[in-house]
Amino acid sequence: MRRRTMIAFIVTASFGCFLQAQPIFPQPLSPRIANYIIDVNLDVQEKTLVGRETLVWTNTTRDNIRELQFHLYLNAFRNSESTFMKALGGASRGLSMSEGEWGWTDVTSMRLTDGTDLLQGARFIAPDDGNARDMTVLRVPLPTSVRPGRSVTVEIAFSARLPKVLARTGYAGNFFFVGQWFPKVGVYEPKGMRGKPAGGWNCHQFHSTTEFYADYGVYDVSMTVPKGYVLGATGIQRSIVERPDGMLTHTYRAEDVHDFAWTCSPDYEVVEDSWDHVKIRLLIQPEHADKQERYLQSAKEALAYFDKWLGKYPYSNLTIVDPPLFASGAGGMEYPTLITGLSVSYLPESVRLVELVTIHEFGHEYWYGLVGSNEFEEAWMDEGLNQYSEGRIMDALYGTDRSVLDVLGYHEGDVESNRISYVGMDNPKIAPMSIPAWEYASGGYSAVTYSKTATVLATLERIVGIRVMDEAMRTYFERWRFRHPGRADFEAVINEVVRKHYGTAFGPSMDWFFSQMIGGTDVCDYEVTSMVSQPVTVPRGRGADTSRVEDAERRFESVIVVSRLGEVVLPVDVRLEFADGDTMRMTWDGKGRVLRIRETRPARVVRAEVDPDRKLLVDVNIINNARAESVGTSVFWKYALKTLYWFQNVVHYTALF
Amino acid sequence: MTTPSSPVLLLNGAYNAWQRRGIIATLYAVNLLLAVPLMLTLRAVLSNAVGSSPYIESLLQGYDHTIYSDMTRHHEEIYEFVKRSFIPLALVSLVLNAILGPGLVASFEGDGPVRQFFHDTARFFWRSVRLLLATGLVAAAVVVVCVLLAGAAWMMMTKGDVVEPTYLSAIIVSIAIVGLPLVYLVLSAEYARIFLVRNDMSSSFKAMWNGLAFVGRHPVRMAALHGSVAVVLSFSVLFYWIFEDAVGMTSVAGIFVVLIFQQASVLVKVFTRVWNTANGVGLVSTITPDIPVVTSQVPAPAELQATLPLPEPSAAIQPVAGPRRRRNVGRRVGMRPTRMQRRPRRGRHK
Ligand SMILES: [Zn+2]
Repeated sequence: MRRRTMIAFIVTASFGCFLQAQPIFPQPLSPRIANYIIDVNLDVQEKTLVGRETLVWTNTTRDNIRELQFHLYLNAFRNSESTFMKALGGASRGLSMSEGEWGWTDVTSMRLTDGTDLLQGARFIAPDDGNARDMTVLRVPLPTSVRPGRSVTVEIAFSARLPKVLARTGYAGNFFFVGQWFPKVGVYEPKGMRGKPAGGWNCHQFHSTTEFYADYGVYDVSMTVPKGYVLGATGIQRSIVERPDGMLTHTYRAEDVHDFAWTCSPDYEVVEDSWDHVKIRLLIQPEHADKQERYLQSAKEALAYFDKWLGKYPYSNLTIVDPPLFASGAGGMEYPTLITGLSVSYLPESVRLVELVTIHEFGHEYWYGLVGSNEFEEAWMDEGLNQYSEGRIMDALYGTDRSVLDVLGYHEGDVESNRISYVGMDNPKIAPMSIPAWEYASGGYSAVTYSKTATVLATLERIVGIRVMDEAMRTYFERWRFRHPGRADFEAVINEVVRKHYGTAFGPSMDWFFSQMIGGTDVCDYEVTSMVSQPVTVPRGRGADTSRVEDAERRFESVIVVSRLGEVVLPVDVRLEFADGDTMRMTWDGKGRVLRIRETRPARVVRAEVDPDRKLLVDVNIINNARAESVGTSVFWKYALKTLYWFQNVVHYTALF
Repeated sequence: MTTPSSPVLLLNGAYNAWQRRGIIATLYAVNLLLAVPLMLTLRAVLSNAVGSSPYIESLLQGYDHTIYSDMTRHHEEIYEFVKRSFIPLALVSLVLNAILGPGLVASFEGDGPVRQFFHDTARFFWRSVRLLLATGLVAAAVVVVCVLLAGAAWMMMTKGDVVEPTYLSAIIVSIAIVGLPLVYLVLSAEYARIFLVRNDMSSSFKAMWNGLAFVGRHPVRMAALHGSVAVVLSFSVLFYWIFEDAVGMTSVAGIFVVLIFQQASVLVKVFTRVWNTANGVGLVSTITPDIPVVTSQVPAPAELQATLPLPEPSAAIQPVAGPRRRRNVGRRVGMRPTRMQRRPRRGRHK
């Protein structure tokens, strides 16, 4: 019996290996710089991983490369002295770390194929903050440099312990989310790439806010877990083989991706669905079973939107992972072809958390997955572009004024919610969008990176028009998929498409916009300061020209003052409305501090508006953008009477309890 | 069976409350007197802050998150005013509580003329203040202990990796641990006030003690009499919200209609409050019958039994036509006086 099992194992394992090598795409979609074959065992009791990894890394630059740098992400959870834990102050997403819950990675061996030991000269480095206790980046000198066009193969053995889920990765109960788990090579950037003045490794420490930047490649990963555990992973399942010890080895292959994550739990319920060419596999907690339709529907909506808006999602599958509440720190994450959502039992449908998180994380399949910007250094190009996309999809699907929340008369849309998160910051000038994530030392990372970017892009969309914006986004996507764009690359595409449609109507480029909004911290605030209409003064007295007195008596001189209260200068429309129903529009370049409009007409001005079409979502105060001769007082009564009811209730229940 | 059933007491309570429309109107007027000036000031604050911006008008059509949040962020004086109003308002109302509470109980001794109501509020004021303080002290102690207990229960129930249903149970248990004793305490305070006034007790602490004992002895009655009022109250609140939502305050007419309904809803609340006290007084008078002055409208058990079963509410309140003041009602049906009632009575007027 045992012999037979052994034979069966060998046969199926060999078939698995054969399948594993079969390509998914007939032609590579990406440069395939970093390619991995990984074999890993999970001990669910000890929460440990023991793995062997073969990395084949190709030098596609013109530089001779003398060292490799590796991310050892799990060391962020090694102790309280890592840069990650220091930034968090020991807690994230409402969860904190206690004794026995730490996680780490130890590289036990690293050799070249000829047996050369690379660990001898390897050292931990901390390129971002110089924290000598941080062990998330390992520099590995090579005995001989990797010449342009050549590859290096590195055999690595590692053992790791997963942390209790604090942020993104780890275990909780018998839920395992294995992300940022294997020794992963950084990105070598040659001179000129993303504006770099010199070639060098881009391999940042694991920060509490950002984590991603990697080269594309092929992953063949075999994961051995106990029988009874449902497993999901990046890529396509190639085989499941039962080992003689009763464990199951699941083998997955993923091509043209830059990361690999997997999860397993005996509690998952598996729901399968599809959209067009994409098979969707939802791994959901039993207590969230009633949310499955919300997950699947929003994933399909997102797939359809991105497909139409930017282009095809090239992979044939998408796995959605629903973490349990006690592992919510692993929720809302993105990995190639695998995302984690977030749901809570008893959550009413009008609180669109499930939809929002699913759509957001799926968006990362484009902004992160397919377009591989550097999240460490330019998080706005990843999270921000994605937040902008999320706003568009959410508002299109569920209504601009209630896409996020619609409960008991209170409602908010995604785009407006982003705007308020930005303009409502205690200090919206705290930092520009363009700085690296770990430099938001005084806070504001998420409001600036996510919300301000989304609002800035929504403003740009309204300035250049949605068709031009869509063309620009599509061009950017098409040009930069499977590559690593930087800020200048994004701006160049916008400039190109805007110029194509408008010539120099917006100036030689849109840099005036980018420098203020992406690189600057100033805020935008326009105001209609005053609005006065008076009958035209009739010339009187000796020698005065009274020939046109009658005419003048029937005319009004209106003076409207529009001010720029913020430092940001953006062209803005001004609209005036007169008592006889006439309207007048003009555009102000916003360069001065004050615009004084003097208009003589047969009727008084009754309403003045700056930015009447509400294009400038970055304007921090919309209330002062308009002034009217008479404003209906009903709304004041409405709120006063609503509050009266609360006052009366306070009196009633306190005076007569 | 020596005392009337809870439905009978409830119906009689409602009838008695209805008979005291003058008092209901007085309580409502006091409420308005306190709340309306604040409302008018708020209206002026709003108008001063954003009165020139036509964008505010969009809030009339419904909630507009952008406008509402910009308005409140850039004009903090609006929220500030509302926030600053609540605590003084609650404190003034608390003082009113000491004044109005006893008057309300006493009003069930006579026919409930408003003049008598004010007379009794003055007579019991200091004792009522002491009772309020006693209640406050006990409540503070109870809250501290119960919050600690609830915290311990919460920790025990949510230890480890738990899912939402467990959290829900823990929330329910924790709320029950804090809430039930508080409900018990509030009911006891209500009965303490009844004893204080009916027995003309000089010790508020003793009255509180009696209240606690009484409520503890009659948990089913409490649930029936006061739970029913709470249910009616909850429905009226719910109904108001549905109505407000359905009508919408999107036009002058809509605002006016909602205002009328809103005030009707406040009146219903005042009524349910008076009704609640009527139920308490009714229960005390039938269970502790040797107290000379009994609520006028609660009929004798014998008479009630004669009228039962009650086909219509009108039948239940029929006995009101009988003698207005009924003394020693319980003795006729052989009720044992409680320890409290055996205590020699003090003079009504000191
Ligand atoms: Zn994101």
